[in-house]
Amino acid sequence: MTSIMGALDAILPRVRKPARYTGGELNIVRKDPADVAVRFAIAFPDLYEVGMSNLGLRILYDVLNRRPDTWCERVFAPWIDMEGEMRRAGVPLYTLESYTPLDRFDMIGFSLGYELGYTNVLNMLDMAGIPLFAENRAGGPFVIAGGSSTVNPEPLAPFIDLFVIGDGEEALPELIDVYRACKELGASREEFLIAASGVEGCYAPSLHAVDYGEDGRIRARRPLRDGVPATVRRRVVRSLDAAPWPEKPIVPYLEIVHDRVTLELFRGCTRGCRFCQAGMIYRPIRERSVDTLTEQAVRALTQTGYDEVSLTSLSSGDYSRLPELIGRLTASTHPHVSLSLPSLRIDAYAREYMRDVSTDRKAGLTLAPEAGTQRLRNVINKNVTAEDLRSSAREAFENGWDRVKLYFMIGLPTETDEDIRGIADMTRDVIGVYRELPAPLRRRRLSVTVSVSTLVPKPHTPFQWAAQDDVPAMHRKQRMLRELLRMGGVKFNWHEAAVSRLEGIMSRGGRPVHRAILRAWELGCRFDGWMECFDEAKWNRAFEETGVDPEFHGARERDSDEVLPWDFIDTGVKRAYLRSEYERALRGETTGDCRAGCLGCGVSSLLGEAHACE
Amino acid sequence: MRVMFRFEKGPQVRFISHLDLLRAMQRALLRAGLPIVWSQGFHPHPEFSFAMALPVGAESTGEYMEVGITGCGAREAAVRLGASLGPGLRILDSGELLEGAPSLMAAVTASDWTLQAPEGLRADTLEALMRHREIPVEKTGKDGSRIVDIRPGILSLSLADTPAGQFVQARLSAGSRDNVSPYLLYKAMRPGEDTAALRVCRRELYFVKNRELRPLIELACKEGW
Repeated sequence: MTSIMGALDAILPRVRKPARYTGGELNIVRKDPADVAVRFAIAFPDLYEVGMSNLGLRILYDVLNRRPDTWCERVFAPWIDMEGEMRRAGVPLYTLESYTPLDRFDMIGFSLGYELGYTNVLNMLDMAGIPLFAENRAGGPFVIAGGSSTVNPEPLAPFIDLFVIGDGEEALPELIDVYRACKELGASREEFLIAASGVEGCYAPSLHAVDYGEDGRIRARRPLRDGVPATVRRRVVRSLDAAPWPEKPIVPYLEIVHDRVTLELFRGCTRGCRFCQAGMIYRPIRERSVDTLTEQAVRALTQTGYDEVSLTSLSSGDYSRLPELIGRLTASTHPHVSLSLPSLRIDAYAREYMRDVSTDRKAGLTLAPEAGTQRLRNVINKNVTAEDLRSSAREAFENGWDRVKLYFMIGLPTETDEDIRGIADMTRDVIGVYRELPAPLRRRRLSVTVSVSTLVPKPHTPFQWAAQDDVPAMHRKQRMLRELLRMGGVKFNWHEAAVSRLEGIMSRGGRPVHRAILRAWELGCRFDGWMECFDEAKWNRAFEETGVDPEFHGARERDSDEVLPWDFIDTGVKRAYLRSEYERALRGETTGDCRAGCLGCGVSSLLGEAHACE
Repeated sequence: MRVMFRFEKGPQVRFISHLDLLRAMQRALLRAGLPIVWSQGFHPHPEFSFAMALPVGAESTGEYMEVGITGCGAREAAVRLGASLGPGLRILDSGELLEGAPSLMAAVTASDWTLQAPEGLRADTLEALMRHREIPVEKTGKDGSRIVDIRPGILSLSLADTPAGQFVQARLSAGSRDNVSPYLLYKAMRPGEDTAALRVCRRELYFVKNRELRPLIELACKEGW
């Protein structure tokens, strides 16, 4: 520890934002290593500012540190400059709480929210001196991983000892119990992994073999040891009200991406947008009560000194007691505390609350019609209309907003040029609404940001079988939009096509993709989600040299009977349901909100016989 | 009422930037639940300001800030704020600023620093440096580098031998006139040597009263400024 700190004295003055690497923030947990049986490092494969904004990381830090027998610390990916300095000085990757090198921990738990962090996982292991392949780890920490992108764990399978799929609040403590029991018995690494496979949600890739056909498709999967279940069921916390919640959130010195108190109103979503992975894999909907949320907000504000509370969830406007919650929060907090409500939907329901929340009009209002025509919105099951958009925009303008962000996607199944032109039409509509306002309401020039992302079909969604646009198709549509969106006050943002392509490969790829990830990392790829780091040429070389076919693992359409690499993960939502939703999509048929009536997606099976969704 | 605090920024928080520290202090004020004065306007914020920014990487036992507070004395405010600070930050002193006192930022004219001495530095080298009429040093800023004369800003220099090593104690002009940073001073003592990892500590800030330098905390003294 002291040798690392000594080396840092010489290194930190040379890097950007050294506070990323120093720790010592308010409310971090420190324990005496002699008092704990298990040392756990929660690892986030991106910058400190991104990782500290991750709710899952904060929840698990708290859950693990509540245990007297466990000390959970944090580690983030060092930026390029820091990596260079650390490697030059021979400083291993260390945790921020105690400056302990990672290889001294019992477990390292990666939080994987997006696929573009995969090369960073390898880089962090390497910087810690930990063998990259699980099979080469004779001792040292178990490398585990969880988070939304692990619903297809296969591209990283050979590097990870154990995946924890789904909600971690209960699974991780159970896993630690198993670990302690195995340690006391002197069990081997494999014996621990077999025992851990009995914890619902846990998956040890080394205990599962995959057989491939000559065409590269999966023929079958089979567990390699007795008692290891073939199917891995996603872990689900039944009651969020009863689930632990960080009462003393860490307060970073650095300004992080979401620098405020965060409340999680509910987990899950009932809307059923067909492109949305979160909307499928976090089912069923589980709400926290107004009492619990108010108490959590008051406590967190007192413990942190923040002056903003963000009411998050996948679709916060859908919280069943939103007016009551806003009323209670307003009454129980200091008048200078502001409330913000991200992820507003653009239907009438959400508009009622615009006046009460998110007084930060400077930040602008975000509206997400997602597709340019009603036909295509029906295909993706985004059930909002052009009229909804117009009235939302009108309401916002009348309440003083003069900055609007519009979110759209391209590359959606059945899309035609008509749908692309629809994006421009809807943008023009919003500008038109502003121009119709009486002059006193139009004191400033309207600013509209149109952000157009490219569909990356995700596992466990109805679009998991769909073809992804190739790079030339993405470029053509982006060029079209650049022309169409030449309007005063309009700014057009798009996603780099090659990055979307890579995300697609890592999202739907099978185990063989790990070879390309390894090679790309060896060639120097890291921080692939950052444009200043992403290196398309190196990735192409990695695919060529490893013989991993990017088209096969990425963009191609899958047959209805193909075994998909992630089929063995049971998220609760059944494949047959996803398939029927895909077919309805292709026919342009919408599916209602399942709050109005169960649609039989299958997730209630995870809750046990007696349970139905709320 | 304007309350001033003298505080310490310890070695464990020396890499926190000035803006980060401002935010940390604002949150500490809110956690302390002090009756602070809020600014008017669309985005109200607590009325407080620092005397002078500290470079990233430097530590200090002589930081100052002032905060608008109503209905609570300086001593009580110091106790409550002190209890709510995170590790590495400590309140050392407090006082009420008298009516009409200048802002801390405007009052600062000099600062005391302790910095690692260049290896093998002798006291007579410092004395020789002080006899120069001009001390040109290359200063690198946002718009490239230029030569500045730091001699007018060096008020005194001395060498201290301690069990922890040799340190230069410097009193330098600070604020709007002849401001000299300890890093430039080091460059004058050892041209060409990299100062990025230099350990420096600010000890005190001064204002001028009756043509004499007085520690900034005395802006809160009974006899006033």
